[in-house]
Amino acid sequence: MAKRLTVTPSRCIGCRTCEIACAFSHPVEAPVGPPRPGLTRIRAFPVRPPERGIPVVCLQCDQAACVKVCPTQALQRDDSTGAILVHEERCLRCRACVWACPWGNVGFDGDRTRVYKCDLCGGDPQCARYCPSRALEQLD
Amino acid sequence: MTRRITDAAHLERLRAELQAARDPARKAIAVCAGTGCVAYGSRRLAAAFRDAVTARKLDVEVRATGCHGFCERGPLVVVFPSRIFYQRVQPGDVEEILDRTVAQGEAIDRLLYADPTTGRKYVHEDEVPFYAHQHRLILGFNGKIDPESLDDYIANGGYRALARTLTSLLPEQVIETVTKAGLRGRGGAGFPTGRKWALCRQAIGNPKYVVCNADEGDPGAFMDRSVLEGNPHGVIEGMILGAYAIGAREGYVYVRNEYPLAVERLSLAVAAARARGLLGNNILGRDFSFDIQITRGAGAFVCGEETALIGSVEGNRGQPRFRPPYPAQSGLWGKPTVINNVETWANVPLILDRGADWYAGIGTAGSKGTKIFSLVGKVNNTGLVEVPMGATLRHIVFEIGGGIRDGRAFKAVQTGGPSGGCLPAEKLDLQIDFESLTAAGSMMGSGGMIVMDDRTCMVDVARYFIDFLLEESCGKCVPCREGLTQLSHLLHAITEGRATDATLGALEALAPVVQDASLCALGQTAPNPVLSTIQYFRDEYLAHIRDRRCPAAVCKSLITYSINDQCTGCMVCARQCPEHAITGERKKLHVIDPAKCTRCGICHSVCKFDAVDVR
Amino acid sequence: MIVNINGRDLLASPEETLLQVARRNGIAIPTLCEHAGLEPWGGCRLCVVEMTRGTAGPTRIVPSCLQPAEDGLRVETHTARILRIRAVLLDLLLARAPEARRIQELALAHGVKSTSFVPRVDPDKCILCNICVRACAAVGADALGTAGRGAAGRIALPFGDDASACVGCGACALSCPTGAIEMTDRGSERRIWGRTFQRLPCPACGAPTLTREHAAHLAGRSGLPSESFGMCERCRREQASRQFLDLVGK
Repeated sequence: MAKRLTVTPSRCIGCRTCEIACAFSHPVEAPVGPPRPGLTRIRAFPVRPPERGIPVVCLQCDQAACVKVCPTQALQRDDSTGAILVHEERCLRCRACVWACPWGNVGFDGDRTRVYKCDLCGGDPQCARYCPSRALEQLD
Repeated sequence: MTRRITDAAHLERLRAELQAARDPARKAIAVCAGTGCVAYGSRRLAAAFRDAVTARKLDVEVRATGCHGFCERGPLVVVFPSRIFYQRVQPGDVEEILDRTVAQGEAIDRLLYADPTTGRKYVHEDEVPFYAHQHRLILGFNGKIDPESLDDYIANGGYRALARTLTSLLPEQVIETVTKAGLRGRGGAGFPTGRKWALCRQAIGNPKYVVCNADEGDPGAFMDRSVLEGNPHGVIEGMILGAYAIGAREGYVYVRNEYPLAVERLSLAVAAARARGLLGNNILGRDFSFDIQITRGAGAFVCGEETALIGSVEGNRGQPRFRPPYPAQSGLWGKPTVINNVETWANVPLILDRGADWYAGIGTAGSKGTKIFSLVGKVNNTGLVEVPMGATLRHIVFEIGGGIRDGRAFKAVQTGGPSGGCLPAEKLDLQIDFESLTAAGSMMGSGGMIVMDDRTCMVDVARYFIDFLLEESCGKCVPCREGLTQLSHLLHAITEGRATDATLGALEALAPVVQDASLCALGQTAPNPVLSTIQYFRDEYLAHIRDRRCPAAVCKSLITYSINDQCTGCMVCARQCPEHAITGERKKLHVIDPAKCTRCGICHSVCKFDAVDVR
Repeated sequence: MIVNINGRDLLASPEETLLQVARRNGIAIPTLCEHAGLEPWGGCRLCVVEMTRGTAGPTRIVPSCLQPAEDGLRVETHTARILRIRAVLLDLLLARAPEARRIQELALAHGVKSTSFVPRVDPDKCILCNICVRACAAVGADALGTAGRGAAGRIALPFGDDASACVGCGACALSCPTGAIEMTDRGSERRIWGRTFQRLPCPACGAPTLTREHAAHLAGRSGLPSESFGMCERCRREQASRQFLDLVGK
């Protein structure tokens, strides 16, 4: 069975390293020069005081609203990682998925005209790898 | 009174009764009521006959029949029992016909057909060369029966094939018979009909449908129209037999909206067949039910393409789709569907009545049976011509068509409508069948045959057909929509004197791409007129391009009208000219101002002295 | 089943088209009217390939996006004849839509720098690929169709001006390969297909979100009330974080 990205908010220190790791692992082409960091799929909302945070990231729901609402089945689960992926060549950019996710975890990149969401980095989620406080872990 | 025909035996009894009640010696007057003759006023003519017969209290039947085919000479009248054939009959001739022909069997000379070259007159219908050289199997009913009378059809053998088939043949045997006969589709593609039916019978899906493609759209073609107007029951019977063969309960006739008379006659025939139980539940008492619905087109040539036709019947935009799947597997509403042309359906009852061997004995090895051609253009005798496959072009154009009118020279014959090509004089001895026409660079198509003389510009012909197809293209695929747009630009450049050799090269480079890449036969065959005229009449193209000259004196941008010394100064042309381009005093040589002249040709047609030259 | 493409024997299943088999095996065939999320259209004809059945059959030119795979087919995707056809098709499209960047790029890739044909008068960027029509139907609004026949065809609303079925979602404009559909967002107004829509303000941050009609449309298709749609995804996330905070406790 695929490992699951597990969130333990009580351990989150609100450092937002996860966001940086996510952005860097999803680079986008730039008009000139090398690729740049892309948009982050994960958000850690700071709670102060005390210095804490609440990470919000796609939960790869078993009965995902985004999958259900897509008219072209462009959102499909990858069985090896358990992640729901955006198949761009099937996507109509209708953004029904963006409106359907109850927690706002599907985004739309207007510059590149692309729907984007957490893809679990192909099975090795970088946010979990770089989280200093084990608020994000990849567990069985 | 219409009583339901309960079974085959009942039908035969009815047939015998009808035949017994018809006295072959009875006097009758058949007036052609096909669209062409109706346009000439044949309805008024028939009414005049009826009034006169009533007034004189004569025992003479006046019958309005379907198109006789010799449309050049309408209104046509055949007097029975002598079968004296009259052409160009007017209401003013009615009394004399009753006095002399009907009462005394005497032929009226001025109403007889005269050969335009020899002047010889022909008295009886089957002697007239136009008919004598034909083999009128399908059109044979047209002159004999009143298309609005089911009784006429039955009395002449109609629905006998259906009765025999339903009582003694299995559906598979019907398919075997049609296959063995070698019937091939008459709509243009020539696909073996039996094979299509077999594929549909085997296909999985329910319900199945039969469809009659009556969208006849080729300019100059009116074979299907005449069959529908003149013998609708022939088509209906064919469809019932086809439905039995494939297991269909419902059939559609998709007829173009521009054929109101065909729609009317077909609707009457369907209603009559229904009333007698030949359509509907348990036909002739058998466990077989079938009915027909008539749908009309909405003015698109492309809807003659079978998948576009299907789309149109379904209520969608009429545009083709890719095959496979073929309609036999997935057609109307995704169900197995047999679509056949009007003439194909009309062949079916004859095959089931007289047998596959009889049918296969007519025609060539690869193309069996007869074909109806609409012979039009610069021939003396225009009309519908039915000949066995294998007849030569020469036979049709000269022996039946009577040669080129006004004594001019044959230049080309265009076969197959806008999908076909133009064949020159060296091809006149070609034996017409599906393969031979395609090999020569043309095609059979639905049977259009346009004859051209030395006053036809072949480049203009190519331009005409490309413009027609461009207008009719559904627009779905790039090679047809954009390719025909550019072929049209190129041809207009040539006919308007703006072309170079590169224009011809561009035509020859683009045309094969349109042939190769188009989605349906409209685009795939659109280059045929262009390519065949370039192949056989290249000099004419070069004259337009290099000399800025139209040898046939047709292309308006390249011709000049001038007045020669035959001019008597009568001033008729000057008065008729819409642009006031002609000046001249009475009895003095007139002059045309080329700057004002629009090349409309009116001066040329009104001049009685051959004084107007067109070059 | 085995399909031979460009000399390679490839496994294929009966539901696949030649294009799908080719792409799955790294063979690139250009397309314009094809969209993986929509039914194949077969109109641009760029994807045509040469196909032969058996060893002695005739070679046919077929659109690979529609031609089903069959056992024993031999397919060539880049013969001189096919490349010639693609070049001419792109040349023709350049004449139709000279400003369309995607066409310019594809044409250049096929050796066509500018059109050799007569350019269309007053051209727009539409190539009548029908992606917008199919996309709109897939989205469920079905507001678009092709009006007019042949070269006079144009993508249009019913009767030319009835935008009542359009929900202003913009899928058409965003899926169009040439950017031929104009959609402008200014403040809370969105203009598309000659109609001005009002985009709802996010109840949390006030930023314009989706049109009222799009929200009603999504409500209808999902069975959820239309109020469920209207909060922007950023604020929905923030709302989620507060919900999780409540769950976790301080």
